Amino acid sequence: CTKNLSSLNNNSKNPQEVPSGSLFLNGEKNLSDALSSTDPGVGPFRILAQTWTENTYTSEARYILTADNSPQGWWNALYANGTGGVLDNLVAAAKAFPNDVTDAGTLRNDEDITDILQVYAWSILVNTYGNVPYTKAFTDSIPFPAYDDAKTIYKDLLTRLDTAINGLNTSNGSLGASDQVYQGDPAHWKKFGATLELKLALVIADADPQDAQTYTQKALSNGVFASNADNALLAYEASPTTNANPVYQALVISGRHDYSPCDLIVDTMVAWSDPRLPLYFTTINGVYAGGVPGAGNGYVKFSQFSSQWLQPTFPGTLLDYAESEFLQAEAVARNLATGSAATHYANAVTAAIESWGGSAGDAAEYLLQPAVAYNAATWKQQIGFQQWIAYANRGWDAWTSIRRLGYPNIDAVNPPVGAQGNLPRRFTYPGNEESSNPIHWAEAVQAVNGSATDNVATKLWWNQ
Amino acid sequence: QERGTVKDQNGEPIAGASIQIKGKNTGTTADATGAFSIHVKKGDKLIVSAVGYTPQQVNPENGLNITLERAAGKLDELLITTALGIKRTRNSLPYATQQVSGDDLNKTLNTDFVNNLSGKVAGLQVTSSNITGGSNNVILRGMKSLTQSNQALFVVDGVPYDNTNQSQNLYDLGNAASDINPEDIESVSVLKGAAASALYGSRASNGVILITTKKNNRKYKGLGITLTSGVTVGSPDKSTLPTYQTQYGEGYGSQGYNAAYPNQSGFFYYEPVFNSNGQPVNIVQTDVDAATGPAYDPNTNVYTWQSFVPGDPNYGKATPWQPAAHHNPVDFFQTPVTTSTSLFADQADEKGGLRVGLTRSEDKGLLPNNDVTKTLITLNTTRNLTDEVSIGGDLNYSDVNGLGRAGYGYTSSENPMMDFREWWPTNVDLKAQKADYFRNRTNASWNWLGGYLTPGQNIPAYHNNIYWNRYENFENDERQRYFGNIHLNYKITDYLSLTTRVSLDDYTQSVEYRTAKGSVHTSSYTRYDAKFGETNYDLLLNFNKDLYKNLNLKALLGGNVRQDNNTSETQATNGGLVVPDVYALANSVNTPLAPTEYVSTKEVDGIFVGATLSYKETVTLDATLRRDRSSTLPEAHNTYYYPSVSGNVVFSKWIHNAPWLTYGKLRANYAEVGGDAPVFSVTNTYQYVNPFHGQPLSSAAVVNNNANLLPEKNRSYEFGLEAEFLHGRIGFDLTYYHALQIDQIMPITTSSASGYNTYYVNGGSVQNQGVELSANATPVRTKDFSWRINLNWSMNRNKVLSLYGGQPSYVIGNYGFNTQLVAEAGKPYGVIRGSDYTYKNGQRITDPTTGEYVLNGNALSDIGNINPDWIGGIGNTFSYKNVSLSFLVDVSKGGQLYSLDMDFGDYSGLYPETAGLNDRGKPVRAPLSQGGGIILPGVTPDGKANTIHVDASDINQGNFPFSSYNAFADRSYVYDASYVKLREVAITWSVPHKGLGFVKGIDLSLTGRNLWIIHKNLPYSDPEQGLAVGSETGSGAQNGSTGFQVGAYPSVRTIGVNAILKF
Repeated sequence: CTKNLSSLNNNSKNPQEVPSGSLFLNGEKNLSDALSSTDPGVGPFRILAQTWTENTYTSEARYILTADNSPQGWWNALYANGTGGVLDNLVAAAKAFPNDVTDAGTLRNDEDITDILQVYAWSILVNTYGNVPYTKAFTDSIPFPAYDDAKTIYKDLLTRLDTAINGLNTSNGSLGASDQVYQGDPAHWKKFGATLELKLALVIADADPQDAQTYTQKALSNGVFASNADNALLAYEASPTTNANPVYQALVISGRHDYSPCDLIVDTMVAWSDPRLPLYFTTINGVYAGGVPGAGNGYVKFSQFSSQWLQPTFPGTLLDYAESEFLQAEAVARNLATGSAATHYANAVTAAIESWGGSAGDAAEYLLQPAVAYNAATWKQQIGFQQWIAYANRGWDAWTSIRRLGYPNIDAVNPPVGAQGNLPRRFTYPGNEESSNPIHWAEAVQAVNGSATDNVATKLWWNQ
Repeated sequence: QERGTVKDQNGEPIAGASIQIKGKNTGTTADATGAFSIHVKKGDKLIVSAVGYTPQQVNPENGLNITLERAAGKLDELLITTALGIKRTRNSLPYATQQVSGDDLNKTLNTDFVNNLSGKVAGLQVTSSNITGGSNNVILRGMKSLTQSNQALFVVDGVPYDNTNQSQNLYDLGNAASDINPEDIESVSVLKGAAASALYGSRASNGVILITTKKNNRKYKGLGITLTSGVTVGSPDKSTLPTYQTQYGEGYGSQGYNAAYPNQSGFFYYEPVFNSNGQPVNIVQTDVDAATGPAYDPNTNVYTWQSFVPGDPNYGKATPWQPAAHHNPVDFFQTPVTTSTSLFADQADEKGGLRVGLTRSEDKGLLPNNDVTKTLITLNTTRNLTDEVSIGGDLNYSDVNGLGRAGYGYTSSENPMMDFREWWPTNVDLKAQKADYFRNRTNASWNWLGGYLTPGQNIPAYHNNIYWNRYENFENDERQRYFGNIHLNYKITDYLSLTTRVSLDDYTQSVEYRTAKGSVHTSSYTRYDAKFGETNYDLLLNFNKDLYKNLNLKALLGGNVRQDNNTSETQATNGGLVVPDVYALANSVNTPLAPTEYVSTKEVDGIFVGATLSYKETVTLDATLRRDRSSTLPEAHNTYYYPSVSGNVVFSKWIHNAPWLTYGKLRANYAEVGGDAPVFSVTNTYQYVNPFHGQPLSSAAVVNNNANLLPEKNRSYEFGLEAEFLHGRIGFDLTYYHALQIDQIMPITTSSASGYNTYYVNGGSVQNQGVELSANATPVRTKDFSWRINLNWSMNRNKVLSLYGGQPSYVIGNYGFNTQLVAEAGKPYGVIRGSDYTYKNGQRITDPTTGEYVLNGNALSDIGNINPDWIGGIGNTFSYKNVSLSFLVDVSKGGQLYSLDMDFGDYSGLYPETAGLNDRGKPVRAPLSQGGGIILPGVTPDGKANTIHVDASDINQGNFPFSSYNAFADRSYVYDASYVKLREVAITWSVPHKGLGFVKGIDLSLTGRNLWIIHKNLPYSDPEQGLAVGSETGSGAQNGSTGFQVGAYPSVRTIGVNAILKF
């Protein structure tokens, strides 16, 4: 007989305490991984937004999201997913900081940076599904949390975000190398927070112009990104393969050939002689040709992704300067801020082209075209298209940009072959919620859809 | 000197049978093999008798191979092995236990004896995977645990024997009980209920398979040698393999459409190829792995995958577009051959005995490059040191080597059946695949990504060459196991004895996995090394005394300390292999990552008491109490007690005026069994993740463990009635049981919004109740001929009474991509959920304008349940003199399964249902304008028959309704899992061996197994298959695998011969 029996039950290979920074970095990396993922079972957003499309198995291109269980994959990626979750690690990091961060100033910065990233992740969840578990989430004793109202969550996120931005003290230290985006630099995180604040403000511009204006002003006074040097990029590394860019993992390592550039973005860029064409795509028999969404696309008949996408070290983008300029252009166009929308727009397009290796000259020439040049009367169209092209590798943002601004109008100009309805406006809730959290699931379905049937066509509260 | 044998009706030797010369005081006894020799004079008659059998008078002139009939009235003197190896008479057995003799069990040669239990015990459900060396599920009285193992506990000669399913990395490595040597099994007792198994503690709450091995028999002196040799040959049962449509070949509709050639349909690519001088030619859409391409037309010449393989006879050539001559899986399979040879020797004297044995078996599998070999060594000995003290030891060594084991689940590289059932065009010739692989050992895929590229630049799209997978990307494994014990018995007084025993079950398992350079996936080498060890220390004090006239008390007091140790280490190359074909960790492109390590220790300390009071062998009362203390529970709740009480009455002893009633017994019992938690489910821990940019990475706890877990409880009661009539010609044993599992410790699937994917809780209560019937009859019994029938039948009704926190349901696992297995309060365990149709008057509603089905809008409706209604087996044995013929029919009725095989097979247009002619006599796949299309059976919302043709002409344009990934619901792929199988047939012949000198016996048998599936409702597959391995994801994986088919292997018919020689 062993005297202290319970001691046998300690897992000697897994720690009960870890450095807080190791949790933060895992959350940060997992966020970038999720946003960069090409797996239709996690994030089929590039396919929905028609920057990419599927070659053989075309369910997502046809809006059949249950085929690979995308709503489950995306939900888990953001909440908790084995070792690959975002918010669970950020929440754990926030709890762990006081254990090993002794300096009060550093601790505060660590917590604020973590909160900014949390707000980022929460905003994606709430803008993908609508109501989600929020106040009751991440509580050890609640395996089946209730859902919160999307709008209420959103307001809280804005408050949290502004508090965190203002809490950051640029003269104090923070995460250092545990932050692989800014090496812990609080000044950069302040700009990141402000840019995110501007982004979140504009999402609700139609539904809640008052708050949109308030937070636009706060964001601009907090100081948003001012150049491509501010871009929030997470560099990947070649080894091990799990640390390589998810695009590289999917397009190179897997040995599979599931995706091609979509005809809509290829044709649009060709029509406008977009200088990014060779930076984005390869040619086939001397021409750029994109796959037809929903149809089978023989891999060798279409353009492929340029070598830039295929590098293991290709960085993941959380937020960038081009985006901040697009947002500022939109803020001006919406009369939420003052300035020149055209200038911000031109800066945005230029930054977007430059960030892929194009030149300012290319951009200037490109901007001369009437279809590309800023037009105050059709600002949604110009910003919508350019933002979408800039977001070619940022599927969730491309999809959300289309949902917000309406361009390109996929339902009208390029409905997929065999489409099941129109472009999804939200994700339905995951199957595990329906079967494992059925009471709260039913409440949320009713609240969001106004009926007992969960529906991808339901528009979220801000999407009028 | 005349030689003879004494056997029972089943051909089992009756050791110790007495052979007396009538009217004289001389005679002899039969040895362990039933053999004897005796001097007889002309005219002598022999009286042959044995305990439990009707004595018989024999005339030696008619031969001395004597068969004794069981004397029903004497059955109460038969001994049945129960928990802790305690033998009980039938009269004092108050719970349901069924015994199968080794001979009955191993009528057909099977290197895994567990598969041979199917149909032989009421209430026992054995499902196997049809795979060489593959796994099986052994479930007694239904699923009790929602998420933990429901497997019965295996105990060999009183010592628990680990039966962990070793499967991993998508390979089926079988269960560890397959290490037991079938030739070494004397008998198997199945303890079905909690009362029978309570003394084994919580791990026995799913019942116990109690194995008694053959021992040297000290009563009979001398040397005995038995040589057994057998061979079986198999062939796949074609009713469990797909039938393909052969009108359409590889492609994805009009995906090949090329605007430069608008007159072409696009069902082929129409482009120039390397040797066509710039002229466009028809090329098969080889990058697609579906059969939704162009209609076959032998007058059209096309470039196929072979046209791009240098060295192939069709290299650079176009060939007629038609189905390949060898496109069926039977063209790929090899003939499975099992050989097994055993040699056992035993010798005994007054002081003790020794038994040694060696078995060597080899299973060559259905798949190329697949075999499993076993070497099993047995050694056991006992010795009386004094009249009071005896010691003994058993040692079993096994070495199991697997090569190229079958993969399972949704994986093309490991499981060829995924190709054959889901993604397979019939224009691919398997003989050509084979020739092209072996020519230069290259990965000549049938699935070229863009087959019209320059040869040499081609790469596989999704599928490797199917032989490449078998000969390059194979696994191999080895398990070496030591299982043994040392025991000492001390007879303190007449009525008090002490037994101590130390036993060990220890094995190492190593597996190597390969992905060769040139495969679809990045090349890699992975090795897994694990060690399992279980040590048991037992102390048992036995008391046995007649307290008073006719009143006997048997009591025991015991203690058990059990320790389990598990360690494993997994290491892999990183980023590919540098040098091809060298499978070493050092041959890694990037520095290999730290191995994944696992170490666990578990200890359970138990003490128990038991008492059995019997009056006149007529009334028996039995009670036990056990206390366990387990390391896996929180310290405050780690001790738990559980009792059992049982009783039985042999009422036939009181009934004297009913001569037709031979035997009658009523029994009843109640038992509670406590249970502990899996290791490491109390405290949360972080997980290491590979460092990133040199910075450490760790993950928040993945599983939410629970420091407040309580022991779980299983409460059950059962009633039984046993009766025999007409001197044992007819008999039955009927049991009703009711088991309630409460406070189950389980990892529940949480909302991941909780921060975890699973949470350990005490939650959930499951009720199982059922009826078991075993019956036998001897309709004909003459001197030379007899016919016996054995029947086993059981029904289990399972109900989830409540779930954690009052939840209505939660997920157990996922079937494929969008179908779930769910536990639902108020329903039987294991509800299948997926999409469903809308119905009117029981018929599917179709859309009045499109003719397509109208789904109900909920992707997760209840569409099936995995529990069978009842299972049973019926065996018949016909004996004529020394020849007997027996056969066993095995039945499972009801229960459902979801077939991803059929769903994806329909998606890829593989099955005849997706082609053929429609109601207008036109091809279903012809365009609507040409009279094609299909009318889906159903009614419009106003109840009128659907008359609209749905276009099925071009999947590339979304015109192909088949599969839940197109316009059907998952409901279409839920099938009834019932089957009726002719499981075993055996003809055995005890060869007369008079005059063969030292030969004591020769038995020859011709056997067949899985010969015929008499009835099933699942097309192209064995409803029992895929049931064994956890191929779905999620917790409780193995439990749910009974309702899911993916990449199912065919059932294999085997026919074999077996010879037993005794010296």
